[in-house]
Amino acid sequence: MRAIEVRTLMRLLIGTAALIQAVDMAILFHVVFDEGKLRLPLYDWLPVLPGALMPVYFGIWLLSAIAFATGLQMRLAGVLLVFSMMYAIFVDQQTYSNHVYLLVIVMLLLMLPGSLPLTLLRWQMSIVYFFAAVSKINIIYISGLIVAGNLQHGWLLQLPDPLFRWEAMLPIAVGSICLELFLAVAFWIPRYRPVAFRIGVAFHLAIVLFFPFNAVLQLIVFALTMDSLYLLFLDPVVVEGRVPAVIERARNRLAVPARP
Amino acid sequence: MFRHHRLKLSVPTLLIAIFLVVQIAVPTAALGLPRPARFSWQMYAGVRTTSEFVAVQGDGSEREIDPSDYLGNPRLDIDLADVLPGFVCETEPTVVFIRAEDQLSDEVVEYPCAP
Repeated sequence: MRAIEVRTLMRLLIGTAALIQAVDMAILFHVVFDEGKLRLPLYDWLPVLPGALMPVYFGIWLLSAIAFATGLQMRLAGVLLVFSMMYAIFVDQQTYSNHVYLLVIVMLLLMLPGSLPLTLLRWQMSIVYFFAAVSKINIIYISGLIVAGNLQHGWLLQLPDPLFRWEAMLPIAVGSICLELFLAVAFWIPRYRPVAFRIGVAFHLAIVLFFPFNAVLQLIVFALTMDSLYLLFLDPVVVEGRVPAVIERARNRLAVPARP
Repeated sequence: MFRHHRLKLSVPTLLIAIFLVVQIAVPTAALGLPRPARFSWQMYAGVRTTSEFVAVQGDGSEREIDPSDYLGNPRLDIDLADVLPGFVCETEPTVVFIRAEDQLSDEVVEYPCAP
């Protein structure tokens, strides 16, 4: 798989993620900036947009996401998206999102030419998994409290009640830390790459299915973003040997001729 | 002959330097802060607020506070003890103080409302 094809596929996934994120953020803005609610600005100099401008703001975000995904005026769309998402991150502590922050970084690197940004994107994937895992090494997470709190309110699939005991939650919590550490490392080792790809996709799918409804859109965005980074590690043998039909169709439709 | 040695800061070098600082130094430093911290990939890594809040009225009656009545999105990385008591006092003049009961340490802290 040539670098240019990876960029095209990634752009499609990242643009789609940004589109879904726009919908999620619009809902969140509506709730957070509701009259009478407490506002927690990160920076006092950054104002909340007046209500009349909100449709314009989200309109720009939505249209830019579509343009970015389809490759139409990609640079302009990317810049508009980055500014739109950075505004959401900084305007209030309640609208900050790690997933949006990740989208901004991926989008910025994806817009830069050359192979260095693609290398940095590979590092980015490992950095996210590594710090996600290491930061969970604390008594509150390992006790299973956070895992249980989320699994108890799963929107689609719920674990049976007898499982909500620390004896069951603790192994799930520790297992999730090990899994994230594995994903941080395994993609760099060719022998483990195919299994890391499958485990990673299954991991994000499970989170989407088992976690509460109010986080679903954000978790889909995160899954799309991280899975798009997996593409940077796949070599043609893995791609053609394991998922030939889907990837080949996407490659044929989306491939842009490489520059000489 | 003297040669001028100047540090050449190319675009790729600069990009890598910024990337390393933002993506490695910041999350590493944040590991020493209360979790979860922002800009550090600490998703579901902890809860900043382990307390439950109770609003105590002038007549002595008490009411448990649901943070989502006051905040649109009470994220796990927001320290509610920092922001919630002041806002409840400000919006509800009949409240005389807020009591925060830590669910892990059993510690109780009272936040009096300004008269």
